[in-house]
Amino acid sequence: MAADGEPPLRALRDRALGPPKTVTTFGPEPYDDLTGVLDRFDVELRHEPLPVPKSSGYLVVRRGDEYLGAISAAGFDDLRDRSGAPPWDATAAASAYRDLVALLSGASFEMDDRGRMVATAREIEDRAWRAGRGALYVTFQSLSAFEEQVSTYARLAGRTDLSVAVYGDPDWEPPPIDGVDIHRDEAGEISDFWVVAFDGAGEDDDKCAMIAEESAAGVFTGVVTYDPTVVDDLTAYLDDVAASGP
Amino acid sequence: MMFGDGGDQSRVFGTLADPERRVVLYYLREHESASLETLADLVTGWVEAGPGPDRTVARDDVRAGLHHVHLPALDAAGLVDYDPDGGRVTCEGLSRVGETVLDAALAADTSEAPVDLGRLLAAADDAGADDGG
Repeated sequence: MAADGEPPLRALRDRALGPPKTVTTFGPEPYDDLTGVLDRFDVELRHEPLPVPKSSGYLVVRRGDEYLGAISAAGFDDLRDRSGAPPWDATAAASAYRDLVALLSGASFEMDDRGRMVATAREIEDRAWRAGRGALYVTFQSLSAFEEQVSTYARLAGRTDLSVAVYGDPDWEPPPIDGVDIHRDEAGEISDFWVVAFDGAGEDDDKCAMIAEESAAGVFTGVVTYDPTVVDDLTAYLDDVAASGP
Repeated sequence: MMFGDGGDQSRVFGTLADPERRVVLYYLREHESASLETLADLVTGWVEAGPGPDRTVARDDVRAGLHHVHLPALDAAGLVDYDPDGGRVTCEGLSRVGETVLDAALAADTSEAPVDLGRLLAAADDAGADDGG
């Protein structure tokens, strides 16, 4: 599926990129402190003066001529201080950051902030949690990085009918967890990537994934996608990796 | 004629009864002119995420409402010039009555406080008097 020599995950990530998006803030003056968040995404930023109190402003996301959605200034605090709370946290489920991630799907991002990467991945896990069935795929650079997430994924698999597939370089031996399959990435095919994918339990509308590559130490270049064909190919590839593993 | 210079408050209030029309004017006071597409984003975002209770609305419906109903109504009231073929709206400025009413409406639209209609009318009256109307 990939060009010669190109990592399949990179090809999938590039396929997930969509048409350019525009984020327009409406308010009395530019929301300069949001720029640090929005600048991480490859989107065009605009500001349109509107004589309302700053707390009454909002932002609108569009793709070409298509209006995608809006986020109120009440949620802007959440964009500044992203929530890495787990999917079953009700406040996190309503977070504006996750709304933004969904609206900006298909726009590439570059992040050097691990906490914000976790918050981005949570958007995918949250959908899986709400669906409560299907398969969730999560890659780690190494299984030792999975160690601190064991309780999160044990709960995701334990409280739902979700099956969870975890991939990573085998530098740590996880305990057996019901509903969680561990795949040792001996070949190192995916250790440069941070992937979280939900197969939608067969529903195209629920399929989603984050595909990020560590492009420099601690810097991830990636994309969130809701394109069902990309998600299908991604999960098929990860199934292949699992099947070919030890 | 320019709106409000005769103190025709009931017509001002009638025209501005629809929130879409007020939002358009709030915006145009800062920009003077705008495309229909920008106004459709503005109003859809306002309904979905702006001041007041948020609700979901289809942008296509908002755009159609602006094009067929609200912008022609604002044009007929002399508050804006709307070119339906070019999709362009301009506002050369409001009368003092119009400004006063719009200021009060903006304050009401962006706060929890209920609108004090009597006070609003009195303020518009004063402004109308200042205009010599």
